[in-house]
Amino acid sequence: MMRILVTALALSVVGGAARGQNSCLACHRQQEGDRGGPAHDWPTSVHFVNGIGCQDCHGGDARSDDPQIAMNPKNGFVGRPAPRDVPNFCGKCHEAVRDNYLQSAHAAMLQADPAAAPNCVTCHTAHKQQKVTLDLINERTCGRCHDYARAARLKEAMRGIENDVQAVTARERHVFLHGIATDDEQKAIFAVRNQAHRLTHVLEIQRILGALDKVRPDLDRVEARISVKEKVLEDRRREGNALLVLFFIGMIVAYATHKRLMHTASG
Amino acid sequence: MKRLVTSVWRWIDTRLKLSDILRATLTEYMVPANLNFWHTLGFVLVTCFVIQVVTGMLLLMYYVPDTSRAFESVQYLSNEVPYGWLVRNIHAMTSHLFVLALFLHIASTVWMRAYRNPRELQWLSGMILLGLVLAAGLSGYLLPWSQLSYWATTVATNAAGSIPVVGDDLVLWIRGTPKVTQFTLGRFFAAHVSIIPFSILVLIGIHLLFLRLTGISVPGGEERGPVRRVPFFPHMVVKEIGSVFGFLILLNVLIFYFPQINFPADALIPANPLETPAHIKPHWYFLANYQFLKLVPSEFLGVILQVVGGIILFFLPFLDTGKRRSPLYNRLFYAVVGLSILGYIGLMVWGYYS
Repeated sequence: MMRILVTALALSVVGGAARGQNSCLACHRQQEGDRGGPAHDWPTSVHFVNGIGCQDCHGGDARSDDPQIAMNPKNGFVGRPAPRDVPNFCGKCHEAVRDNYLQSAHAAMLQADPAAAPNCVTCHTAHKQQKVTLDLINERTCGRCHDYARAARLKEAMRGIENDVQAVTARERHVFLHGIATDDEQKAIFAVRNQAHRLTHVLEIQRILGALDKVRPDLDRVEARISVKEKVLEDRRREGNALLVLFFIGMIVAYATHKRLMHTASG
Repeated sequence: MKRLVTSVWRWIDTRLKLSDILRATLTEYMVPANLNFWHTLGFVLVTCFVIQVVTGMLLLMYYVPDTSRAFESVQYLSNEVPYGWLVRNIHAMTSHLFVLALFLHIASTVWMRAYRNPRELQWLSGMILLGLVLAAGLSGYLLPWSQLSYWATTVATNAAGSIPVVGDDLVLWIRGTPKVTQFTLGRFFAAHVSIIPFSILVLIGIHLLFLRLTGISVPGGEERGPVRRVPFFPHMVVKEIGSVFGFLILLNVLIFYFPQINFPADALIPANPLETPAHIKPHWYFLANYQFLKLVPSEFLGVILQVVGGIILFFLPFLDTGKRRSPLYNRLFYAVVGLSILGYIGLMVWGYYS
């Protein structure tokens, strides 16, 4: 987990810089078909939004305008990975997801028939990845290869923790937007969500349910910490309401006194 | 105890004649009896300034004007210091209400044409005060060094760059460096905590001095004949205190129920010069100017038109003199003023939703 956070932070800085000077996008945007498509898709990707640049996955030198340098294998450039290599390609950052995936039936099929087996980009796309929700498990996506019923059961198994994570996130946002720092809670929710989401890649419902039982106490602890902060907000508002009453009384007394004085003056 | 206090007061009063001064400025200072709510806004504005100075001094005890520690120091103040969040919220929210009350004060002065002879100097000092209060808001916005403050300051200071010939030098002068950096934070901090508040204090003194020398304008105009007058204290003062309580109610509701007005999500994360947020807009009171610049095809033309508008407003007392005018002129005047105010509000709303 720590490694993901540190990598994300480092990539956001490097990627942010690369966004300003990225020869990959400049060149590929002018191309058609498979060579141009990724450059047009990329701005819609959650990776792009989080400041990750082409070279963070594909290597090479994004600062150079010379394709011989920018895409030189000596500079670490890897073009489109072979299907069998995709899990390790994405797993450079998403280690735990890769480890879960490698235990799945999808991974077993990848070894047997790499061209037909689903790898990371089959569901997540290569350059249009979005922030993952359970909606990614749907009949249209899963039904391309097999019957949806099993995937639907897996989705249901995940729904409880997913809803709870969303509910806790909404409470955390509320507290955060009222000016109370929630850095630790944000990190903890991020960790719980990642732990839960990566489990979906195992594809075995009983294993998922067992693992989720271990994740839940972490979510409960975050929820308890957020409850304390919500109480602080409630107390503040109570004090604010008391002040409000005092100010109302003050205003009424002032205007009543003014009216009485004016009445006396005119009389 | 009471006898001691009385003796001390008499001792001081014999030497400084304080009771004479108080009598002359309070109970013997007569003001028109028909002064309305709009005339109390000056008192509300002075209250805003006092609140900003007091809360600003408290914030200064914890704030660190260093780009690597500014955000952290503000977070510490808001989350660790007892009632630090309240002090910060009062300071930030009052800055908005300060500008709002100032806009209303100016609009009512224009509507009542209270700037005319002999109050031209009072108007000019008020216009300079407007500039200083806006500068205080702009400089204070950067200090927390959040994503919002960094990028809003970048956008706002960029606008100066569209002025021909001197634009780039002006941006450099404002920022201290080509981009918003530690040097910008340093000079904004110095301006915000010393140069601007001191200038505001002096200008408020001058503005009030002019007020005493020329007298408060009479609602409806002096030309309608003599009006009944009442002592400033207590008659007018209690009314002004009532308006201050009204202001405090509004401040309270905004702080406790709508804190996001001040602190949207981008204001709660540290500045990242490498990552531009999706929708950065200036303060609400610069939104009309911002939207106007977007509508005019040339940025240069947009800036020039706004400068001309500012000059017209500044010299209004010399354009709309105190001489009697025809009913047609008066109707035209109110039509132009009314449309200008509506246009300004319309641009502001448009800028918000654009």
